[in-house]
Amino acid sequence: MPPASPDSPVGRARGPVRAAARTAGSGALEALLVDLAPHLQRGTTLEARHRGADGDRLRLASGVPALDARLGGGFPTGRLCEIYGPPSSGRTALALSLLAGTLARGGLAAWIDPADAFDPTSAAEALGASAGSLERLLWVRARTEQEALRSSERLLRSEGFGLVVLDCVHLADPTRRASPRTGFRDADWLRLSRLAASARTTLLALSSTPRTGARAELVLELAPRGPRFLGPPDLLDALETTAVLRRHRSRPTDQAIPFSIASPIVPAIALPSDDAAHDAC
Amino acid sequence: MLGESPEAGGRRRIACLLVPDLPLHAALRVEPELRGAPLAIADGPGARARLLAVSPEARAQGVEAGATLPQARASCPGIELRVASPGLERSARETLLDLGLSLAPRAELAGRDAGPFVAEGAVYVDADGSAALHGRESGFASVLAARAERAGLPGVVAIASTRALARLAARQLAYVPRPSRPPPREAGGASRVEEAPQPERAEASIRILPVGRELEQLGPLPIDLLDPDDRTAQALTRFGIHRIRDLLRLPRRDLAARLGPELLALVARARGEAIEPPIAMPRATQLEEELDLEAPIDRLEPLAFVLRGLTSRLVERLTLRGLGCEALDWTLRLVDGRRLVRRTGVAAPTVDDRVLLRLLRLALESEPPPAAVEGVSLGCEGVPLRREQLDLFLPRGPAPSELDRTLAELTALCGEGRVGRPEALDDHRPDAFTIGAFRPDRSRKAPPPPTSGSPGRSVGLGAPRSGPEPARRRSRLPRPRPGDPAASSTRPPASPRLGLRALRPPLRARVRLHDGRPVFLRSAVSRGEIVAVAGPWRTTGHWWSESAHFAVDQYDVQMSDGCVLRLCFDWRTKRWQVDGLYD
Repeated sequence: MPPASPDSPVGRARGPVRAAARTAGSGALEALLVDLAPHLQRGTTLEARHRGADGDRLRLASGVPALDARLGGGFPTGRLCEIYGPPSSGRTALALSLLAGTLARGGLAAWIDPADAFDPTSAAEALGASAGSLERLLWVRARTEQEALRSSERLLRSEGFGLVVLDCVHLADPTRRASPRTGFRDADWLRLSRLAASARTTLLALSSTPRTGARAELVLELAPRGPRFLGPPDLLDALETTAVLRRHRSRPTDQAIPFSIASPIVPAIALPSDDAAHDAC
Repeated sequence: MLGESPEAGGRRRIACLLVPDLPLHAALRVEPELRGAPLAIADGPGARARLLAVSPEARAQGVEAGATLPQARASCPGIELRVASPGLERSARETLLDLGLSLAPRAELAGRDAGPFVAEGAVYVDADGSAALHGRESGFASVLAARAERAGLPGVVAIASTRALARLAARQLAYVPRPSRPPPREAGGASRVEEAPQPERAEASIRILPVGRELEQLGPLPIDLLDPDDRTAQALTRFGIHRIRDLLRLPRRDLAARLGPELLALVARARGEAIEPPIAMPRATQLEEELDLEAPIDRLEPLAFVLRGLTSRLVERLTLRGLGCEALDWTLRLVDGRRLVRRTGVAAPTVDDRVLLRLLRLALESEPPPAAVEGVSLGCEGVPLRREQLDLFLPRGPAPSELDRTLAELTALCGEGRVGRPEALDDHRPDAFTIGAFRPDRSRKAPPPPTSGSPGRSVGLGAPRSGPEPARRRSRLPRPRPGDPAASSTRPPASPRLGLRALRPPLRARVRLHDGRPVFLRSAVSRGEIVAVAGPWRTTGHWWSESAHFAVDQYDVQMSDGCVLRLCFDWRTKRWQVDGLYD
């Protein structure tokens, strides 16, 4: 690992912090510094370091390299982000991927679920090795959107959750497009975005249609390209989808990023033959 | 032998914190707005009740303890009268004990006296070694007196070799007017008081009796401070014995022969010769605050106001003892005679009264009392506080108290059982899950390898087959092996994995089959041709239970409108349904 630049907060740190930076990597140290930021004075080198060239902060990687590169490293922390798209476009899978990243680094996350659509079994499969950290996920089964709104506000005020997913997908009839006038108002999104900024929490809204308006830092539209089956016998292998960045403060928008969402089951089925080959060796 | 003390060679020192008008201050703790007003506490309702304690403002207008209520009103028409509350007085006495334990490991409450000292409350505190901690014993006494005043129980503190002598000196401070004299010069340094005896302290609220010189200083005190019984007091008065030194000068044997053996106990107390066991170390940490309401309360807001005062006083006492509250036990006494006993848990021991009050309010709002409340009791078991240890490389989570308050509010908002940690059950029934308590473990340890079947969906290939019991039908998700990096890593998957949006309850569907495979679907989720089908995946289990038996065939289908659904045929009900949507 090359030595940190003297101008960076890592380079200026002395003693155990600098030693920790050498041993644990700058990513963990940056996460620590962001967490400690409320206790430090404003205008220090710390903020200048994290502000960067385009005002970026610590990022939450989505697991799609092309998308993360386009977003400058991932979804920004402390911001309201939105993913929308039609059914089977991969909104839930992308949110689960962000959830896995948050839980894997030891953070807490919350899933506010007014549609009561969160499936713990498939979430555990999708999280893979991070499934054991589901104990750090708080599932809020709100019954109405107002309950979801108040739950979101309360969780953001507690200032300790790295990611809060607000599932606004209208699942009673997922094919029907929810009216933009129903549910949250613009003032609600404004309040939530401010709370997310003060709590340094990534607030991720999932919806069928764009709902956050101009309050979101990042709006991502997903367009399904259809599933991919393997067989025979037929197995659902993956969902092919395309992400289009519809809104971003500092990044170019309207560029399509195709990617696929793999099924966690298919590689598992292929495992016995791998095991047999391994044992044979 | 006036100046002789049986403890002259010992190091035992006992402090006595004495509050002369305990019922008065117990009432003022609850109604602080009455400070500065003429106030009197009666021993009961009705015109024949007598005053137990009066405030200085009432005393200045001629009201004395022992007077009846009409006499008090005649002397001071604007006097505020309150009936003594046993619950309030008990809480105040326990607060005295907490004050003692805030400075020393050993303290005990003094027994309640009768007669003229019925209104006083006292606590004995082990003051051994206090001079080393506070510079001198007077420093210890000053801190104790200051804490008592801050807790709303202003009193006097005296330190002597025995409980009786300490209490006697405290009574002198509390009841005997002191002649004004210039304050003595303070001796510098942190020398022990036993080595540099000081005759008297200038402060009006503390007094230190040097070892061996107690009787010399207490001798001039009136003998009434020893609280003799009426017969003995009359006899002593008849003989012209008014001061303690007069009593101690008399030969002990003749005294007993003439006035009875009861006088020997009095003399032993005055000399400090009474046998006193060491002060015990209290082990019980149960704290309780009570309040009897003047008028029943049937609304939540006034009741919450009452609870705020109780919580505040309870937290003050916990703070004094360096403890935290892990669960609140509260009792509401209703007007119909019922007692509503409840317990409200706290995630982590706390002394934040706002957190406790919020939890109480949420509990009250979720289950209001069925009748008006006429008495409230709030208690808790004091437990050591846990200090939050921040991890150097883990994100900062919410404080335990804040997290607990958040969870309580979310539960009150969304309902019981709807907020918590998702848990997939080790069961192959469709949509088998539960919600557990959210107690996040912030350590970044690797998840334990699955010892039993993964809670995932069972996967079958080819034609449906009836399988054995679910315990033998494991998911075929890869199992981590020892030495496998994936087994010990908590890294998330490299790319997004397919997720399922559940439909609860599953949506009814109509399916058209062709050659045994679904080709057309009509449901509220999607309607149209089925473009591609994977499956069926047969899952069955719990055949031994009529109610829990399940047997389903699941299909992954792609609809013509692009939706990818999980379609299910229930063999028991012979119905098709849509379980979820891949997304």
